[in-house]
Amino acid sequence: MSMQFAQLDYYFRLGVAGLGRNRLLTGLMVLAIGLGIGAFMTTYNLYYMMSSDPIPAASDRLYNLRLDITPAGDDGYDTVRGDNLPPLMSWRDSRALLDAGMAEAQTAHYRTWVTLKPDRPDVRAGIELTRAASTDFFGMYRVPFLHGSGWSQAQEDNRERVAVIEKALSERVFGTADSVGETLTINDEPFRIVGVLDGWQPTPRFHDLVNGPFRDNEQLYIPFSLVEPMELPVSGQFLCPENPESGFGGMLRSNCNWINYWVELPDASARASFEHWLEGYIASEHQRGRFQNSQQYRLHDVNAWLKAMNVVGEDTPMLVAAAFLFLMVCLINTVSLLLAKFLARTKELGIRRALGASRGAIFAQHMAECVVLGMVGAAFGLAMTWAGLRALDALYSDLSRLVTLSWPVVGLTIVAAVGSAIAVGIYPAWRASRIQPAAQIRAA
Amino acid sequence: MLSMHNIAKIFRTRMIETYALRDFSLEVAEGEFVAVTGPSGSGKTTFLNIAGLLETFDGGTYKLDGEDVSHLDDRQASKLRNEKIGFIFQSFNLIPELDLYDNVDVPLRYRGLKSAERKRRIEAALERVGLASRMRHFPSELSGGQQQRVAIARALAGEPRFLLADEPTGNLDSQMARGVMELLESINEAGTTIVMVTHDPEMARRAHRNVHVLDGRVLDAGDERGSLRATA
Repeated sequence: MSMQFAQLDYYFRLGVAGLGRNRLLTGLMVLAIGLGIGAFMTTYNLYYMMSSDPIPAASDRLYNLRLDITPAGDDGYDTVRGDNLPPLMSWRDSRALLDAGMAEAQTAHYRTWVTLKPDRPDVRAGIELTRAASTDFFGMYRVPFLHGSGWSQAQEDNRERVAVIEKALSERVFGTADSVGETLTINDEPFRIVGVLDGWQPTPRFHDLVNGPFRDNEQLYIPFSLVEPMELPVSGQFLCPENPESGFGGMLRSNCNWINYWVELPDASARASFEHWLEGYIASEHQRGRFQNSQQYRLHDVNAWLKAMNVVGEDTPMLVAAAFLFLMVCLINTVSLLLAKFLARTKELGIRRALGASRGAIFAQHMAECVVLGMVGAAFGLAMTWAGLRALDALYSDLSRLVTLSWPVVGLTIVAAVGSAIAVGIYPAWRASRIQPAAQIRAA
Repeated sequence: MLSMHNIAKIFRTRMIETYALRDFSLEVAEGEFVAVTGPSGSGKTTFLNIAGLLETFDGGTYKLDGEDVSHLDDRQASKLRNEKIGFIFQSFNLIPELDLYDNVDVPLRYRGLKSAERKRRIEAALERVGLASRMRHFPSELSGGQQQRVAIARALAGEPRFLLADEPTGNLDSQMARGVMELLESINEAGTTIVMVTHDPEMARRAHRNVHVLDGRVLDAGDERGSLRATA
């Protein structure tokens, strides 16, 4: 084993030395690999981040629910791929489903805004985007808490003025990350902080795709039961199939849709049971004159919901394919450059062959050089990827979260660059190993 | 040590076949110093390449140190070449990017010797050719004669039983050539079998035996030192 290691060590030393010769060719190869890898990894990173499972621990048991509340004869909506149902739910149905509590867990939530009045004189009062969410929100979405926890069902039912805030807001308002027990004035009412979140930001933001899959999460969360007494406005999509009555009460009684509704159904039987109940609910509402267009409903698990909402889009895979083709062009050019570089040293190869190097040894030596080339190409490729992501960030500010150079991307870039260099090196290394030593050593 | 019987080597193009060697037979005993002479195109180099396992042949049998090499694959042939055969070339064939130490190290690397053993052999070989003090110099910093001495050191470091020399003094002036020849004689006296291709009658005379090659065949093989004069 140590002998093989020593041989490998020798080949890599030769590889490093080989790259130092004919630096123009080496530079061109590093440029080709780096540019190709940089372009491909930039677009692939975007695609990977867009299409990744934002909550792998529960993505197959969390379901987005929608009902067809459109009026009879209405064409419905084209927001969701595959159906015409509205992408959000009404207050009336959300409230009824929450009260029935037929799923293992369920949550209704939407984005609103409130006025914050911090007690500290050095912190300015202002409007804060806030999410009104029912109790199960934090548990269902596996939201990590830094301090404290979410509010209880009893606190929700009693309409207690409690809140969960993000660490950043806590530090801004209270000067500390641990503000559990502190009081925050929201819309002139005192709210007690019960929990502090540790920067929760699923990507894509599956729980509210309609209002932007990649935007920042809210910093403040308050109970859904406070929507009615506090008349919390909607800050986001508000879809009305018909004009609502005037006033906040009219909005709540309307068939307008602005609420995300999710249920947790751990298995097929839980789903069947829930659907059975849901069909009964729709039928009874139909009897009351609602659901006249159809009595359809849709349940999508997290990944199906991402697909249905076209989160990745059609442009991104095309972009990845184009970048992949560019990478291929770069690699094909690298094959030619490697061939030129390797075959320029046929005399040395002839000498090595005469002195006992087998074809396999010559092949291994050149593949080692390709690995070294790949590593240098990876470093340049990483720089190119970083520059590409920065460019995307500058062009599309809403994608800023997607264009970070994460460790998996760094690892993948290195693997892709080294793998590419190995792949393009196979033919030139094979050619180098096939030179006829007798012809070379005679050539003085 | 070397036993060739009826070796044939044919170079083929689409139109013609050229026999580089035909019924080529030669026996070289262990410890011999044989000079192979002949005009250009007679087949000397082809013989040397086949003897050094750098080329395959199309007919006949070749045994090296008792081992039939006809059916060796590349890996086996390379191993045999590395362990039993040393090469000395007319144009030295040192690798210009490597210093003397690393040049001599090349065959030892492919043998997979440990670092300490390689160091010992390299230093001993360079010492023997009188260049130990210049082991970190590069070939371009040496004279032709010194470069050939490095090539000999490289061949010696592998401790081969069989040394193939292709015009080893062809690129040297007479004084340097004599020095290299004396070195080869001392190596032979130490037990290494040497087969040397040469155009130089004076060098050929210093070998134990001369073999004259013409049109791919051995014309004359004798152990008397004057045979070259008779055929030249």
